[in-house]
Amino acid sequence: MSGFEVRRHDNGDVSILHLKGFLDAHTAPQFEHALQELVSENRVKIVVSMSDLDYISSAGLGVFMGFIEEIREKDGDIKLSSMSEKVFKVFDLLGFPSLYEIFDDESVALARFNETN
Amino acid sequence: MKTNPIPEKIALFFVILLGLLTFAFDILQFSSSLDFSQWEYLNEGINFVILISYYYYIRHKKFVNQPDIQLNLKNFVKLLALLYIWTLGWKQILSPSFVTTDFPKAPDTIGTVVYSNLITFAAIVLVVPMLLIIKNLIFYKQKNRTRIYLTLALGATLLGMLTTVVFRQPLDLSSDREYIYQSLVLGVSIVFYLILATHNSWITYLSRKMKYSYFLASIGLVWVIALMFDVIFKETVAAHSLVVAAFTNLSWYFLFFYTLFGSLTFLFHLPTARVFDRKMKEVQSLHHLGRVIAAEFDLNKLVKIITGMTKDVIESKYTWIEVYDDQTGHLSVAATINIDKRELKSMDNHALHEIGVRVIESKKRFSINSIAKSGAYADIRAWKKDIACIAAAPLLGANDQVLGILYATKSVEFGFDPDDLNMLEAYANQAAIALENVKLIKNSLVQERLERELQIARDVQMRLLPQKVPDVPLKLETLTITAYEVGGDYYDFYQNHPHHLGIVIGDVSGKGTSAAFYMAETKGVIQSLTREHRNPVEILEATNLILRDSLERKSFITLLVADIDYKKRVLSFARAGHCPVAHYSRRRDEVAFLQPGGIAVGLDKGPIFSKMLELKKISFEKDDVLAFFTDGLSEAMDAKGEEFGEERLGKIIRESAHEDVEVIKDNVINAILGFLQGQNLHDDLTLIIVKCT
Repeated sequence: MSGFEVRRHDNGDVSILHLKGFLDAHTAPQFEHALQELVSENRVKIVVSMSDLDYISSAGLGVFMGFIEEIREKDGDIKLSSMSEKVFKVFDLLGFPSLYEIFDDESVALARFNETN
Repeated sequence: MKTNPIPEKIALFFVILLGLLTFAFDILQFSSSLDFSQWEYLNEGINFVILISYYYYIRHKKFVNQPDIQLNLKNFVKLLALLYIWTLGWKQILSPSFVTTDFPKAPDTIGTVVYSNLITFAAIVLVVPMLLIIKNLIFYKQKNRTRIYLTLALGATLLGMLTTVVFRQPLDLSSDREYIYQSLVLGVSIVFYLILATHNSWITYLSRKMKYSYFLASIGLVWVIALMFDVIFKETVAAHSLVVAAFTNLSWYFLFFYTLFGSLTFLFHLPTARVFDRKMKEVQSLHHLGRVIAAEFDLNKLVKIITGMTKDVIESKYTWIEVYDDQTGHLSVAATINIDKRELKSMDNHALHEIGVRVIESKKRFSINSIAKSGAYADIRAWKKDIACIAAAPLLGANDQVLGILYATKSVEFGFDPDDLNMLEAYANQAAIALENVKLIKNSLVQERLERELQIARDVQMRLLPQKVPDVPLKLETLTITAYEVGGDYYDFYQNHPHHLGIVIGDVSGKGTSAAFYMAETKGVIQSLTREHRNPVEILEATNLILRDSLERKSFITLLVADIDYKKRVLSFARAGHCPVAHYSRRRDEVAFLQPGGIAVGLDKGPIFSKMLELKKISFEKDDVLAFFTDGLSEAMDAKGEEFGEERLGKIIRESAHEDVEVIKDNVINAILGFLQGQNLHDDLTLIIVKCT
């Protein structure tokens, strides 16, 4: 399976994680690690940008579930942005849109965080 | 060596019989002045036969066939001593004297006759085994020409014996024309003896101590052997037999050269003896270490062996090994020699720490040959007075990563020579290989355990699925293909209400044992719920409530619960994040994918789950086709990363809807296999096809 990459980019008190490639059971720990790092730094306002994400499996989706409770308890949130149609279909099928805010564009997601500030 | 005792005994009998015969004749000749013509030649012939017979008798004796160098040397000295004792003893008793005439000298008294016979006897009996012993030494390390030189030397000796008898001249090197043949033969013999004398490689492999003591002993031995001919053989043997005289003479040359060369070789080996000793030790210990590493997989024992060997070979005072701990990621002392592990562990020595950092960063060995009492590394000396020099080498793994450090110290300054450092490095390398081996073995054991667990999970999963389709007036076909690793697909039928068939299909996120466990739990929950409830929404809501708390946070289950009333031809279903239902309508001749709202079980505690969950109700007609599936089907991926997708599935169902349900299933399978083109499924795939009647 193709590779996977997480890149982190901090913007004020919001952190943006860019996901790239295949997020499946093999690569999920990488993503988990990145989120864990943010949480331990107490950076809980997170935008996950998926413009370059080709595929996400249930293990990948599970990573969001693993952190969302703790992050929301700390008054943070994970907002999703820029997913391809294919990836969105997966999120949509599982009902994620009713649980997470999903934006077409990263900047809109960022703005949304700043709004609530 | 296997021997045949009877001919040997006969040989010995011949030796004694012929020996007595020649002795008797000597006595007779001396006392009666009889002169038998041709007797001389017969006498030489008989003596030659005695010599050969004796050789034949003794050659297979254990005494002359020892592989051990020291034993051979000891036996050689014993024989030599015996020869001297025998000779000097009889000389005292018989005080021989010879008439000073030409060669060979004639005995003057009857005692001299006896004496010359006794010495000849000893010359044969003792010199032959001496030569055989030297032969053993020569063959200690045989080269391809050794046997040829030996044969040539032997040939020259036999020739010398023959010419001595024929010319009745002593074997001397002389410029006199008269003696030219004898000189030639002797010269040629000496050349071959000299060549053989260089065959003393056995000396190389002796230990340093032996080389010293044997060298001293060899000086005396050369002297004793040098005297041997004049003192023992010269006139005496010749007086009895020229053949034996020539034999002893040539043997003496050979023995003299061999011992002389041996002594010189000892001398030349003395300066390198220590180094050679050391190299031998190194080779042996590395060899031993190699074997240990291949057989020992206990890390603690291994590091102990490695430090022990390091100490033995480089003769270090303190030796210890530090290895990275997998759990903590820090270096920790794994084994020590001469120093307490706890002392090293608790010690906070800045200089020592610095050496460690240096080795790790450079990935090269590091040594200080003289630690000053003040200065950069004085810390170490302050900690332990008897550390005058220290060396450390990294344990480098296959990918050049540092796995640990091997330390050694000595109590004298400049104690580490380049050899020591090379050896330290060699041991560190071996230790690295050993550590990696141990890790690999451990990993493969873990791998094996995981595989076994996975197999159990797969077995459980297969047993949880219905073993046969329910007996209802609908045509049903199911298909399950499990992926190699990921598993979590689940489906079930239930018939708790008349004219109703319940279908549940789902996908548990996660893999292996945990997925199998959640599947079993889901099956149990749904089975009990369907007894009370028929409404898919109610069933799913209750399932979510029950499972929500037992699921791991990052796990969830997609479920679709359907209720088919086959009498009224109504399908009602609800979808908790699961794939849609494909419905082929015969009347409209098209496939619709029905995807009512709903989120997966486990994502939300209840309110949002209930809010999103919708019940979908449709009526169907005869020959309509319903397909329930998991994302393993819609997301089956070809080599290019393209997904099979719902569209392809819909197309196949529509094209084969008029066929039997088995044919529809086969068509779907073929389409998927054709699409995958040998690619593996990365998720379980489940398909339930219902053809309405």
